[in-house]
Amino acid sequence: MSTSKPFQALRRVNPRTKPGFSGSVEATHETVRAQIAITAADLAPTRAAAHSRPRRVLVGGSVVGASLAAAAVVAFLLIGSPSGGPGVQDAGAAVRQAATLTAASAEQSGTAVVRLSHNSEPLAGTTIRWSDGDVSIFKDGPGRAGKVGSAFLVVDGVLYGLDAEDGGWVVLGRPENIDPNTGTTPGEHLAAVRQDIGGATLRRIIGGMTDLTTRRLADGSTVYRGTLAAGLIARETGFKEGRSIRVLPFGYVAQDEAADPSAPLDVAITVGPDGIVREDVVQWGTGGSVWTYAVTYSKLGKTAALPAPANARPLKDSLPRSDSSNAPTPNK
Amino acid sequence: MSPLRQEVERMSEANGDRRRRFDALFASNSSDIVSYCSWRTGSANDAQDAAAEVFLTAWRRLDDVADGEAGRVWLYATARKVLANQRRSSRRRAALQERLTLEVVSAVQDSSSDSEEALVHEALRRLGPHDREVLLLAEWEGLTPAQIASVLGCPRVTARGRLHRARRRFRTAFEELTGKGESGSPRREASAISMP
Repeated sequence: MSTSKPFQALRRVNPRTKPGFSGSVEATHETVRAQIAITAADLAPTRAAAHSRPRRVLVGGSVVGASLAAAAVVAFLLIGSPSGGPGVQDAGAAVRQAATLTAASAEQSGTAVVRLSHNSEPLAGTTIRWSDGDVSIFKDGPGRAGKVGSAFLVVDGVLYGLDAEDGGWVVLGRPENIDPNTGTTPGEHLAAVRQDIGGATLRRIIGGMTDLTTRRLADGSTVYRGTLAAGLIARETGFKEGRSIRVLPFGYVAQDEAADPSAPLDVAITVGPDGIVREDVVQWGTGGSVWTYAVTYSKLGKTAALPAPANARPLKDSLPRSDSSNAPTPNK
Repeated sequence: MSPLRQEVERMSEANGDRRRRFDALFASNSSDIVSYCSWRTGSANDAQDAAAEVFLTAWRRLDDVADGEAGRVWLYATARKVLANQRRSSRRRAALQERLTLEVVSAVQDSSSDSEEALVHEALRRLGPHDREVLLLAEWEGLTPAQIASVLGCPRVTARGRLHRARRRFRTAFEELTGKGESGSPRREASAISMP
């Protein structure tokens, strides 16, 4: 090994000597742990794949597979980290584990209810159910005075919508008739929902929480509270009238303070005794204007298959028929 | 005991040895692989992603990974392939990143252009990518010529020859920059370590 000045200088600038290097190693550690846990979950459903229905082209697997997947993740997390440390070292590690386990449990099926309220008055809500490759999204809220809320359903790769006039289902089309990369195919809808349910969104929220505190509830659940920069949960999606628009997961526009990406929002994540996230609640505002955004998870891995709507009619039957008096006169 | 819990315990027991072996591999080599990926990518985030993929590959193929130094070399060789794949699959992004890296390094070096570190980076920049890689595998990663040959997939004699030439070229470049070489004046250009 050369010991001359150029080589001594070269060795002194080894990346290992840089500030933040140990942080990079630690971050890799976290990523590897999460990925291995997910990989274990990925492997488990293959044992049940033979029993799954062939139509499940978007996700595949089965409820049995999902249970094994969750078991695989739990097994990994119980054993502990790659560096041999204890499985749960602190609140941050515990809540990150919960995110991983929730993502694995939500892989196959589940139900999420989203509620946005202002000063305790409900403003809007969405209920999302997903099972294998199927998904239903019902949006509703107060003030509809009996009108049908909007709904969207994908079963066996076919999109259905709800006719707001009569509440009947309309066949909107098959995936091959929808332009890819427009964000409107069933796969794209499902990917967005799954990201918000237990994937990147939940990890981003949990990863960004600071000032974390914990509180045990009587039922064995644990509530993790902290603050989160609004930009980590409300993503910028574009501009309107010169102002950037930020939306919360599942598409609700972030109002007031939440529109400022640096504003600290209060976050409470409830993790059940089974280690799975039950609820995320994000709150912001002061005094007379308090916003609450809550997502409640249930039946992860246990939500029943979604049935195709009976008597759904073709889209062309729902379109308003042309009035002959307004029809353009053909050129003669 | 619930069926899920039973399954958890069964899998825990069955995989215990495998986990422990992986833990040891990770603990012994994570710094090396993160370091290698850091100077190959020039981005902490990309380095973490690449290193994580390397260890995920190791986890999947743990039976193929030898213990000790051979395992370490296997990880470097895998990291090299992972980085090559990343570069192929995201060439446009890499080009943008490389440009940004140049700008960042330029900005940093403008404020400390006389520093030893700036000189080292400029000397490295003057090397060809193959010289740079073989040199840094030896000097920063501490690999022997035989280990470098395994990582690069070339004969030992080839690796030894490349290393010898790379060291000579680096010394020449560094001494030129410090005014001790034949061509004299130090240069203060922006530099970034990039690999093909």
